[in-house]
Amino acid sequence: MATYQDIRGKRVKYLSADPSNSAAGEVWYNSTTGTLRSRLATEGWSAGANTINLTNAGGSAGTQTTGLIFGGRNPTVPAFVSTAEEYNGTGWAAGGALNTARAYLAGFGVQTAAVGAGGRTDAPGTVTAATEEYDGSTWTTNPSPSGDMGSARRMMNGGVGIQAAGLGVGPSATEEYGGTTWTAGGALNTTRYYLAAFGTQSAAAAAGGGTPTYSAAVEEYDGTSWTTSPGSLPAIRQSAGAAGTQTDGLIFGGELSGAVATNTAFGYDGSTWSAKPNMANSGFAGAGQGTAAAALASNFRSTPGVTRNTEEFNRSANVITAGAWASAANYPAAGFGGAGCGTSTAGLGWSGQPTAWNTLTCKFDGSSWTTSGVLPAGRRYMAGLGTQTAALAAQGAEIGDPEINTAYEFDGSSWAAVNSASTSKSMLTGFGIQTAGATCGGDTSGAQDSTEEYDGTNWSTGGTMNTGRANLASAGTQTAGIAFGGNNPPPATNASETYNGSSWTAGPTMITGVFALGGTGATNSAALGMGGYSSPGAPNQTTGTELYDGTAWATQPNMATARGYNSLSFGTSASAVTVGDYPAGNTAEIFTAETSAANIETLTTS
Amino acid sequence: MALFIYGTATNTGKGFFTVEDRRAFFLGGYPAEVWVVGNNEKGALWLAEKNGVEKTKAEAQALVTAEVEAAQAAWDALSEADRLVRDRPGPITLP
Repeated sequence: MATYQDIRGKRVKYLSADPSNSAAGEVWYNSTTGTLRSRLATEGWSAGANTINLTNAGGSAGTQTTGLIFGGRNPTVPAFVSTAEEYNGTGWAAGGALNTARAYLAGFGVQTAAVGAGGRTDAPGTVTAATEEYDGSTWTTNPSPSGDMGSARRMMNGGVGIQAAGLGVGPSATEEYGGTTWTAGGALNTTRYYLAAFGTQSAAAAAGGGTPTYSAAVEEYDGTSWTTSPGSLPAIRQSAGAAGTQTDGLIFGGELSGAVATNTAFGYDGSTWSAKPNMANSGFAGAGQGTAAAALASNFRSTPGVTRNTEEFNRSANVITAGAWASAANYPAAGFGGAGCGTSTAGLGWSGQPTAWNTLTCKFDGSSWTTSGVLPAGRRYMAGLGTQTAALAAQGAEIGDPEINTAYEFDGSSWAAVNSASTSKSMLTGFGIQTAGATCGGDTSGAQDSTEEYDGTNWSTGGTMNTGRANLASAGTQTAGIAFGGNNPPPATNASETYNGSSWTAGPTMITGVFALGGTGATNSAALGMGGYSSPGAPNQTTGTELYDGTAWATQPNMATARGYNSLSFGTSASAVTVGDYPAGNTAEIFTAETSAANIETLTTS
Repeated sequence: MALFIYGTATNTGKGFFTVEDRRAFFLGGYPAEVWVVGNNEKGALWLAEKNGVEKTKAEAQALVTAEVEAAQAAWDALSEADRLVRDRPGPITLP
């Protein structure tokens, strides 16, 4: 019997602990646990964020974390659409619209340099030769792509490669795109509609399709001609999704017979196919992007109709644990409109309404609340910032709504009055630390755009916000802050803006505008917003959660409970706590962001 | 013991099911937000955590069939030209 050394050329390491930098397939003996250990590669499908639009049969480009889908149709109308959506690995956001609405088009490239070409604009036969290029925000029609895309070639539904070296495939012909012009490539050996193509311009593969009989044929392209692969698909299908390269490809889903969808997936190594884990949902005529190790599937049509489902395929030596909200210990009393600061394991909450929340101050240690100190005056809608042992409570409103400008510092056990801010306002927000904090926005006979900075002793005027608003949330530091959401006037704004210590700069908009939300985050490039109202009045509280990564906002797992005025929130974008709901909520939830860890398992003989 | 649990749950997107879930129990999504879940502890816990509503197999099948029949009716109402470019949705039978 071959030994590990025979196979790998190395002996099994004898280690006292699992290594921190192991490679997939590596085996070692853990002398502490007395077990044979290995880092295993696993693969499978998981849920991605739902798409915004209900479409299928569109074009696609990009990767699993920088994906792009565009065009397509909605069979329930049916309408050919021009919409585009961008995926950042956690959520979809609207992209620029195509100039020519169409479906069954070829798509290739990356999210910031993509191509959409050919396709159908209406009933069968109404095809277009239009070629459009995307720069990450706008589609521009190539005015003279030259190289005639003959009418027989205009209904391409396979596209591979990059903008400067792309390939439109099918049904019988192939056209190569050089960034400006199309030139004829080799003809497929088997004419097929709705085939699945993957790879590059000079090393592509085309699998399945309809002749119109459903096919299992596979062909490979070398940049000049197509060769039939000896490795046929294990099962016939058309309209499958595809990703990867000619020697490490993946196809998924597809139509097995008239409107009968499958969830099966297969990998291709350049000569043979192997079964891969099934998707959770069956579908066909969807979009596929990425690699065979990190693929994205979306906009599939199930048997009765199109869905918004997105699934992600990952082959990894790591275990990815999805982000999630979990219930935390109930706050000692029920209310809303409080303030908070600190971390999820050393947090502080105070103030709010009704009376039971006015002066209440509680510490959170990650599992339980402990009453600690009493705010000298009853308040709600205050700004809160700092840490559990060095917090600042500023401005807000007395019950009955007179806005005030008073401020208090918390030293870990009690509150003490400090210099007042210059402006009396409530429904504002605060970020930073006790010796370098800022409050902004708010309301006093109208939405406010002012900022005030606190240095631990004195207040000074800061920059003016681009969008004045009340009931907003914030995160970060005095010199790297971010404010988001709010209302001016209702229903809600999705605007966000960042602060550099002196001025505000408009940032990407949130996916959904909400006000009276909770907000957490240590920097202006890592913020979390949760809950809030989409429009005034109960029951318009929401469960939504959005994460800002410094580039864009993306959806996160929803909270279990819809919340509004849950401004008693603290923590980071990776671990956050939120409490309360209008008119009287005492439940708390704690958020843990997605994590990744090496998939190390014990090897056994059974 | 039955092989599967049947239920309805709204797919909330990212994180709704994970690779680890897929390894721990069978999971299949169907129209009408019907999910067929492997009948083990982790499968049952998953459905509960997703605020799912457990159904009998017959109830779940009825939900799926109703959605398919609605799609079939929509197809039947299409013009001849539109019918030519798509197939009539076929029945779906839950496992």
